[in-house]
Parts: sequence; structure tokens; C-alpha cells
Amino acid sequence: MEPIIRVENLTFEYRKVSPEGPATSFRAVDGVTFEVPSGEFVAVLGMNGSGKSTLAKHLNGLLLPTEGDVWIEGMNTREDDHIWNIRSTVGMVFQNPDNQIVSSVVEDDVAFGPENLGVDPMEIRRRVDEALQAVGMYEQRLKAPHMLSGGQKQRIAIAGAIAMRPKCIVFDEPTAMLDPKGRHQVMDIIHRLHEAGITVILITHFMEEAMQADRLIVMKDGRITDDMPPRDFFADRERIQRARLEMPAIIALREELIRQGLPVDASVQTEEELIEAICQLQ
Amino acid sequence: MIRDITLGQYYPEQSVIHRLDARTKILGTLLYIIELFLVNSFAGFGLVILALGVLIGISKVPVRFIFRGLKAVVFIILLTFLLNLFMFDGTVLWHWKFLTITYEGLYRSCFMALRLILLIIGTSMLTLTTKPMELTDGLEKLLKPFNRFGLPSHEIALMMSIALRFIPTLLEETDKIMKAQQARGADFESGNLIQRVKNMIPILIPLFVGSFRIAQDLALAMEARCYHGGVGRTRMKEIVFSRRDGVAGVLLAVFLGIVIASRWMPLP
Amino acid sequence: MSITVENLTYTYSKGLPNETRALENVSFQLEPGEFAAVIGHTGSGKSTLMQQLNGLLRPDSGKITVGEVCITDPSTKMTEVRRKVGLVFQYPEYQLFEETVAKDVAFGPKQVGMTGEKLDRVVEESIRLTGLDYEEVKERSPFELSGGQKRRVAIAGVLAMKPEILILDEPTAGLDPSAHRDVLELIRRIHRKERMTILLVSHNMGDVAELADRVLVMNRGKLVMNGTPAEVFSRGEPLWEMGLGLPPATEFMERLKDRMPGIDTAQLSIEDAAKEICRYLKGRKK
Repeated sequence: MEPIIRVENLTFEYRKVSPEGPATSFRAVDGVTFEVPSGEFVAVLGMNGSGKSTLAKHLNGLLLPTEGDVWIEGMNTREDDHIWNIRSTVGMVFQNPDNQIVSSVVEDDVAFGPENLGVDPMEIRRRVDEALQAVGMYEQRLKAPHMLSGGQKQRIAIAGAIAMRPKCIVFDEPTAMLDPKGRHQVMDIIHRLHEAGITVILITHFMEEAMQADRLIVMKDGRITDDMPPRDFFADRERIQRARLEMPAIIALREELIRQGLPVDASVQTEEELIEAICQLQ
Repeated sequence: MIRDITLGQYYPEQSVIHRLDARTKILGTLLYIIELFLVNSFAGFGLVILALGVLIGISKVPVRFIFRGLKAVVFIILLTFLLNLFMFDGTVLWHWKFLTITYEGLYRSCFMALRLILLIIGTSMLTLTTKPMELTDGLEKLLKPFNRFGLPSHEIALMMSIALRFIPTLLEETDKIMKAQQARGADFESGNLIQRVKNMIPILIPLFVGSFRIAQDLALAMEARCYHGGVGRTRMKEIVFSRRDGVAGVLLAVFLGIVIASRWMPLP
Repeated sequence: MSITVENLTYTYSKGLPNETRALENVSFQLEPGEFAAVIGHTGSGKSTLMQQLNGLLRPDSGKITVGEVCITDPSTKMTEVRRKVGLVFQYPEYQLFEETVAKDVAFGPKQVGMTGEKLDRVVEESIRLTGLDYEEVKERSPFELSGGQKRRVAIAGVLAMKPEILILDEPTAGLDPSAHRDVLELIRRIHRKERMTILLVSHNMGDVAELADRVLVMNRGKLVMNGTPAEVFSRGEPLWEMGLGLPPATEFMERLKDRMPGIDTAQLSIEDAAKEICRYLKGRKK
């Protein structure tokens, strides 16, 4: 079966124009290849400037590769004919909840995508109501976005993506600007979308969020350095340090227990597993 | 405080005025502006105030809320008043050095200030009772006939609605930056005019940079949601004229007649 | 320098439909050189409190004393207050505006009257204190730096005013893990080296547990808890109800307690948690 996302040898260069000297180019993404089968939940980790966001913007044709190709359900993002199809197949939610809401009324904002696709008004209404219910914001549908909290605004942005009926949603650090409560709610919604069969690409700085994915892609200097289940990645202290990432608290505790001489297995990942492992030692 | 400015905001309420078609309200507001310039007596303004009062009553928007909007433009009103106050020859009421207040000047400045206040309150009724989206939809439809003359009605309407959407965001941003610079010892309250303008630079540059950031983010978000101009676009809420709008139209016409008639009445 | 806050009350948008009580009867005291953290969810009043502390907002009633000076007294000169109490806002990099890093950092101290060589020295010191390479960044435009670097420049801009109290509002928000670590390290360094009184607003309970000597918990405009991290984080139940969490180590211990009754859950760091688990298990074996 054709994977929903197929990226082949993707390279992207930014042109930097500086007042002194000639224009230089900077490789933000450097020869990246991977596939995402439909329905997978992929987390992408990496430092700022590692090329994560640039990569994300290629997945629905917001940026076009300098070299290489991106196919969405077999459609090449370079082909103009497919671009609206591609963008309605792969929705995007960005980091800043304020800067992606177009309208002054919540429900009108959610309608923005379907309106652009030329969907019938009755059908738009249905989709908007559904999408707002899916993110638990139906009650707030007539409010002005600036009266809502950051977490609520981000849920509206997700509803805006859902209303386009995408098969995949790319989340570009959706929780970075939220408080713990907002972060939790957004992660809940992401899980529910995944369970409903939507392919999820989650770019994040939070290790705990990345651990919840089926698969982890780690980027450094525009390249993919690791591509494996989070379980395998977080079992390997060296890999974590090489990527200059943080150990999730549970992993850090596991390592500390091992260091202090307790025979805890290095494959232990979750809180439940660690509690179980510790209790076994009693 | 910046976030207290209510000018240009929407006030959610369930009134007949709120439910009128945006086009009716836009045309009504245009008529109202014309009427304000037709009025040539205080009694005429009395009529306008009466009508405006009734309108505000029906709209259920608190009067206090409306007057807060004036706060933002108090300076302009005062300036208009003062400019007119000293600019007219006639019966001298008060004189000091080069400053002279005449009866005509006083009459004229009160007249102009009143007109300005009524203009602001009246036009703000449009934004207070009309959702920004409806407003821009209405404007887009009203401007549509001009498309053939090359007027990009969809783009104009969209630009307006985005501007309205981001007013609160930018005000908040300004407030934040001002406070942050104040915390670094910036002083916006003292010094002469040039000094003060110079003092604004630490606010203006971050605000500019911030606005560009917002614009860039928003453009990306819109593109990601398949925005590609007005062609082939549908609307969730199609605005339609109803019986209410017919009634409102008749009332507007009658009032226009009264205002025109008042010009020839011997009123103060 | 110490801070004393007494019965502070403040209302936003008085007399409007959106009137909100942002602070209600808040009282606390910080000793010179203390490192305190303020936690509370969005809208709990912590940001309002921060702004009160350096005079950006005036309370409806109550009193704030910084050192010997009562800053809520209308006759107090605000420039002096702002010099003494440095305030680093959330996403402070958005307030950068000068052509070069050095000029931007110099803005604050210049406003409070510093000039000449002293100014240059203070700017250099502050930039170095934040861990940036002074020679490398001083002539560069702040806009071309990385996110983490920009943030450090912004913090340097506040440090350059030589405050005696430093307030930071979520200084690590939005940073990647390595920049996050750098900023925390920087705050720790400032506290140690400059002996400043520090007030840190944070959502990250792990950071709070690691850094603070004292934790203030705000909820709906009220100060509901005030104690050492160990004291505050031993009260998981009410914190959860307020939408706040526990440091990861404490949270884990709380979960573990169900299976290992009697284990001491008051562990703030991963190391201490591991030690306590080892201790508990050894005790069992005997």
C-alpha cells in the first residue's frame, strides 16, 4: 500500500542575503528519506534549528524541496494540480495559538478551511459543529478567540484542521506555549485523533510527549539521526546525549537506580513498568 | 490601560439590531454620516441624538460601554474643539493676549465637537452590533458590483476582517512590550514632543518585528488551510435580507426625510 | 534585599462586564538572597503580582515594601524601584530592539543614568554573566541570534540594571531542552554569584523543586500556600485540584507509595527518589 507520506532525499536550502558579502545558502534539511504508513503516530525531536519545522512545512507543500521529492498519498507536492488536495489531506497545527486564528468568532474560524475548499454551506455547518465537539469547544463556538486561554485557542486551531477532514495532521510544537493544563488537553485530543485513525506527526520538545508515539524520529543539523520506536531510543543513554536531548524523568530515575546498584532492566520505560520492576525487588 | 479601549469592538447581544443584515447596517451608517453633515442646527442634532438613543436602547449595548470607546479619541475631540474655538471672528466674549473667543467660535466649536462625538458613537454602533465576519461579508457583497472595475472586493473584505481580528492581539502585544520596556527603566510620560517620539522607538521596533512575525505565521496558517483567494470559496453563513431589513430601510428613509426637512426649519 | 507584601488587592477592568479580581489579600515576605518560586495556573494572578512588585501596576489596596522603600507610596520614584527590582517578562526576546546586542543591553542602565566606562563595564559583565561570548556577540544584531541566545541577551538587559531583586516570568518557556538547561544554569549562577533575591514564575515543577528555597502557590488571586518545596509538594491533592502538578520525582513516589507503604514520598529530585527507594528496599531485606 502507498504510505500516506513518502519523503525521498529531501534537501532544502534557505538563501541568506547579508549586507556584506554574497548571498550564502544554508541547508536546513539535508538529504532526508522516510515513509509514514497511514495511521502511525510519529514524534519528531531535535534541537531548535535542527530542521524539524522546515521538514514539517514540506509535508503539505508550504515549502517545496530544493532537491528530492515529497509524496502525499502518491501525489508529488511539486505538482500544482494536487496542492489543494495535498493540503486538505495533511492538516497543520502550529506553535503559536494566537497567530493561526483568522476570524474573530470561533466557529467562523473553524469554517475557514472548508470554505476555502468550496464545501456546501450546510455541510460546512455540520463539519464545524463536529470538529468543535471533537475538541470540546462547542460551548465556546460564538466567543472571540482573544477571550480564550492559550490551550483553548490551540484546540480551536486543531478543530480548524479537523474540519477539513484530513487523513494526517502535522503538529508543530503545539504545546510549547501552553500551561500544563492546556498541554494535557491538547495531548489528549492528539491521542483521540490517532485512535480515530488519523496519522499524527508531532514535533515537540517534551520528551514525555515523544514517548507516547509509535515511532520517534530524531533530527540533528538537518538530518535524521535516529528513527526507531521511542522505547528503543530512550533505552540508550548515549543516543539521548548525542542528540542533546533530555532524559524523561522515568528514564532518568531508572538510570539513577541502576547507578545506585539496583538490578533494574534497561528496557523499563513507563511509570507502571518501573513501579512493577521496583516492587519485584522487594 | 490599553485593553480597556472598546472602539471597534463587537458587543455580543441578542437584539433586533444585531440580527439585521450587515449590508443594511453599513448603508444605514453611511446615511447616518451624510445626515450628520446635513444637520445645520442644534435642534437637528437633538433629533439625531434622540434617534441614536432609541437605537442604542434597542441594541441593548450598555451606554457606559459605548462611552468608553470615546475615551480613546478624547484628544482628537478636544483638539477639534480648541481649533475651532479660537478661529472665528465675531462677537468677542473673552480676550487675552492673542487669544480671542467669539460667540461664533464657541457656537462653531461646540457644533463641531458634537458632530464628531455623534459620528464616533454612531459608527461604533455598527461595529458594536455586527460581528466582524458579517461586517466584512456585507462589505464584500456591497462592493462586488465594483469588481468589474478592478476593485478586489474579496481581498479588501478579508484584509479588514483580519485587521479587526488582530486588534486585540496587537493591543495586548503593545501593552506587554510597553511594560517590558518600562521595567527596563523606559519613560514614556515625560520630556518634550521630540523626546517622547524618540522614547517610542523601544516600543515601535519590537511591535513592528512582532507584527511581521504574526503576519508570517498567519499567512502560513491560511495557506495550510487551503486559502487561495475568493474564487471558488463558499460561506458557512450566507447573509440574507429579511423583513426586518425592509422595515429598517423604511425607517432610515423616513429619518433622512426628517433631517433634510429640519434644514429649512427656523431652529436654534 | 527583602520584599514585604501586605494585603495586596487588585481588580482588573473595574466597573466593566469583564471585571476580574486578580489579587485578593496577598501577603508574604522574602528574605534577602532567598530564591522563591511562584506557581499557579494561567489566570491565577501570578503575572499581576509580578507587575505589582516593580510598580508597573498599582494595587487597589495593600502595601509593598522593597528593602526600606515602600513602593506603593505614591511619592516613591518609580525609576529607583525599577532599578532595584528587575523584571524579566515571558518571551523577553520580543522586547529586543537595538541594532547591536551591546546597545540593547545598555538600554536599561542608560535609562537609570549610567554612562561612560561604567556603562560599558556593566554591559560586558552582564553579557558574560549570561554565558554568552561577549566579544562574539556584542556587535551583532540581536535579531540574528538563535532563540536561546536572544533570551539570554534579554536577561542580560535586565541584569545590566544591577537589580537587587530579580523576577523571572517563565524564563524557559518555548526553549528546547538544551537551551532550557542553559537558562536554568544561568539563573542558578546569578543567584549564587550576585546574591540576588530571586522570584521565579514557572509551570515546571521539576525546575521549581530543583532551584527554589520557597514555593508560593497562587490560586484565583489568592496566595494559598507558602512554604519550602518539600512542604508544598507534600500536598499533592490540593495542587492537583488547582490544575498544578508535582515534580516528577515526587509524583512517582506518590504512585509508588500504593505498592510500598511507608516509603517517604517527600523526594524532590530524581537522585533523592532513587536513594529513598534503595533505602526502603534495603530496610526490607533486613
